Amino acid sequence: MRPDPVAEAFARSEEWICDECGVELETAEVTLTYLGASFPAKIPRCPRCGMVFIPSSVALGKMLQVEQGLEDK
Amino acid sequence: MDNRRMRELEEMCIQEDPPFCQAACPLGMDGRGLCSDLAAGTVDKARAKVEEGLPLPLLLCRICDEPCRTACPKGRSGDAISMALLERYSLENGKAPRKRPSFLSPRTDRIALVGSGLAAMAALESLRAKRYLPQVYIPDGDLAAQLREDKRLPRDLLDETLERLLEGLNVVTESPSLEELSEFGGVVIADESPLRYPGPTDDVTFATEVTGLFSLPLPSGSPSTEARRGLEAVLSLERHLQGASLESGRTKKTDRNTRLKAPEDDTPSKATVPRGETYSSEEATAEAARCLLCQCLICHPWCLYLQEYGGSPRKYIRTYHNNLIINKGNRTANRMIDSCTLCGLCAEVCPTGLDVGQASLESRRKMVETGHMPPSHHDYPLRDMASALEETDFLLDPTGGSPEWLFFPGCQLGASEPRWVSESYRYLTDRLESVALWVSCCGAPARWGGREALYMDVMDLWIERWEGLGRPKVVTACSTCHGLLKERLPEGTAVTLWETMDKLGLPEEGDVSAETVTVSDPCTARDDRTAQEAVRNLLRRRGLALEEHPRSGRTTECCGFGGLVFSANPDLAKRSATRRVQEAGHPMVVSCAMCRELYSRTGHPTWHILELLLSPEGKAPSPKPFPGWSARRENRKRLKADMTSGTVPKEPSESLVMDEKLRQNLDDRWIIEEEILKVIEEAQSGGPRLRRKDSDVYLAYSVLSERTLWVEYSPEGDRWRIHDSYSHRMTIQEVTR
Ligand code: SF4
Ligand code: SF4
Ligand code: SF4
Ligand SMILES: [Zn+2]
Repeated sequence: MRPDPVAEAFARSEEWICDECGVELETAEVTLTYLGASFPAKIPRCPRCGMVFIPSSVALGKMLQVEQGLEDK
Repeated sequence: MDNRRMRELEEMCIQEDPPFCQAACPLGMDGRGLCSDLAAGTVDKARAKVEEGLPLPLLLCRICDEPCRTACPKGRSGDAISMALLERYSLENGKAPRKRPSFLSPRTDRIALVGSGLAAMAALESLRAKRYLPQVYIPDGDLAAQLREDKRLPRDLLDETLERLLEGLNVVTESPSLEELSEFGGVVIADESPLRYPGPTDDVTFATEVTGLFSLPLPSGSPSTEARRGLEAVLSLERHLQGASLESGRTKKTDRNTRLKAPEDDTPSKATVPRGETYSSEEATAEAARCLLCQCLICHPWCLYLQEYGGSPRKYIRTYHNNLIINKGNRTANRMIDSCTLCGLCAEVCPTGLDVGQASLESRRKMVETGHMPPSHHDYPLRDMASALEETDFLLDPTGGSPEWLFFPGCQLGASEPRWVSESYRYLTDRLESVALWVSCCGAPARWGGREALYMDVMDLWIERWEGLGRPKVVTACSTCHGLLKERLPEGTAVTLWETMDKLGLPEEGDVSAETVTVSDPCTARDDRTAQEAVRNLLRRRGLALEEHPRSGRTTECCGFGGLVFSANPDLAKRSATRRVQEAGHPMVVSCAMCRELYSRTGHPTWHILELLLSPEGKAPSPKPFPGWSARRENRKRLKADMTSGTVPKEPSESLVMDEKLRQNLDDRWIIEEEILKVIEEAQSGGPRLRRKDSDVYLAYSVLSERTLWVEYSPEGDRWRIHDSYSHRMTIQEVTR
């Protein structure tokens, strides 16, 4: 049940940099929550300002799947 | 939805009532199942059904009086199904079901069976199957006595049967004395002899005044009834021995009836007559294939939703209920509950008037009440409603507070085409004394989504404002608004724009074009004969030849907007709309803005009636394609700005560039351009954003109430090129490490 978008996200995160800080993204552990449930997840983010990266393949794939699972709980 | 209400609705569905043959058969033989097995060639299964259903099957299938035939609707105009022959065919051609060996020893209760004939034999067979070893008294010496006179029963079949039934039993070929019988723990008398109990016996249980003594009435002359009686007597005996209630649950069984309605559209056919004594395999299949497989499901062909999840509405309602009361585990029927358009078509065609939508709506209310309504199912329509109520609501009242008329076109007409509202309003002001215009929402999305409290708030406010205007008469242009307002307004206060135009005269004269069109009634106007007539009159008056959709008037269908299915189950909504337009012989004309959108989205040319009524003499304008959700939102804003002569805001679409494919994707993802622009503006004014290396492509997000919306974009001249946009509902809480 744990979302693990890290593999997919990483594949594309290398193409991006934080525009504000001008640095590469690094993987960080964050907490995703929906409808009162929380999951730890590894997500690429800017090590300085914290801007995260979630590509469409993750938002419309794994995340959507987990959201719908939680909605039917 | 409480248990009782659920049962009531479930009970209304007669789909699980027995077919006519089964209801009429004293033994409750599943004739429909038998026919369906034989028609499919699964003879072994057919044999198992017969052996399971009938006592002494090999005898009965030769001599049964077949009350099933009198009940079978095939017999109304042709021949009823030859059930006994099919039974015999199954017994003689199916593989014997594997008998499970019994390792239990016989029961030791001291019981007796007195008599002869089919009832006695059936009773004996049943007793033996239940492992009883009765003492048998055969006063006239032959258990099969009367049956031997029947030429249809071969002597050796009778002898074999008797041998099997009597094997190992103590048989006395004379009448027992009553004193003798009193020593048994239970007795069944199935006999014409003087021994038959002289006092009153119960019709159902055959109990006499002597406890434990069960006595059958005089033979009925009907073999199927005799066989049934034998079985019933044994059931009584068994209950007596176990100290259980004799009556419980049995009254219903004796008058097994059915509420099924015989199918109307049956082609009469003759029974297949066997060339020999019994059916050949081809003959049996042909005969079985004539069976109508009587059941209800009258609603199924009408409604894609009722086919979608399989089974009868009875099963649907049970599933709803189970979904509501679930404690642990997944509520797998949430989407199913939200996939009904609440259009009431089933209730129109159902012989008992069951409205599945009622059950669905009540389930939704319960889901909302208990916090189990999935937020994503109705997210878009509820957001759209909020915008219609807050952002684009406006009132134009030239009378300063006391108009005689109020034109309330609803929230969707101006979203489809602002001109339809402004020009209809002009039409009304040209012809009526004092007319105000109020563009807003009636709250239907809240009601459909099960948020009844929210709906009541919207509607109460509506009524309050209407009263503030001095209770004017209301002209509506949306059948959903119309229906909901009629629930609250005094009789005769609300009239449709169509009736009004039919009365006051066409907005434009002359033929609009010579084409034939298919009229499609909105589902929320299925009861509104007056509006339906007015729509047809108006179109005819503009020179159009009309074709009726095969499902129109009372039995019209929903476009998929109803019940918010377009949002909760977009795929089903699209398929339903597609099915409907495929059954239309011509371009369609509708009188509901949402019908217009959802039918035109399938690609089928579809006009809103106003498109035709408002166009000048000559060729009708070609029907416009579905504008998409974003454009509809902009249309509403433009209408408000135009009509209230406020400053026309720059429309988001002027600032954004995207290809058509993406535009459609965004529609499917319920993302509108207004929101995209918000994200970009936030990022451009210093908000965080990512940049694709060595390019000017940016990726930014904003949290818009329940959703996080991402936009990938780059500058293009003084506009923004959108590469992608998507959203998720999970929130990124905090950085753990
Ligand atoms: S043939 Fe006799 S046993 Fe068979 S279904 Fe008809 S009534 Fe019942
Ligand atoms: S048509 Fe078939 S299912 Fe219907 S009553 Fe006759 S035999 Fe039974
Ligand atoms: S029409 Fe449908 S809902 Fe009505 S009784 Fe038949 S199967 Fe049930
Ligand atoms: Zn940064």
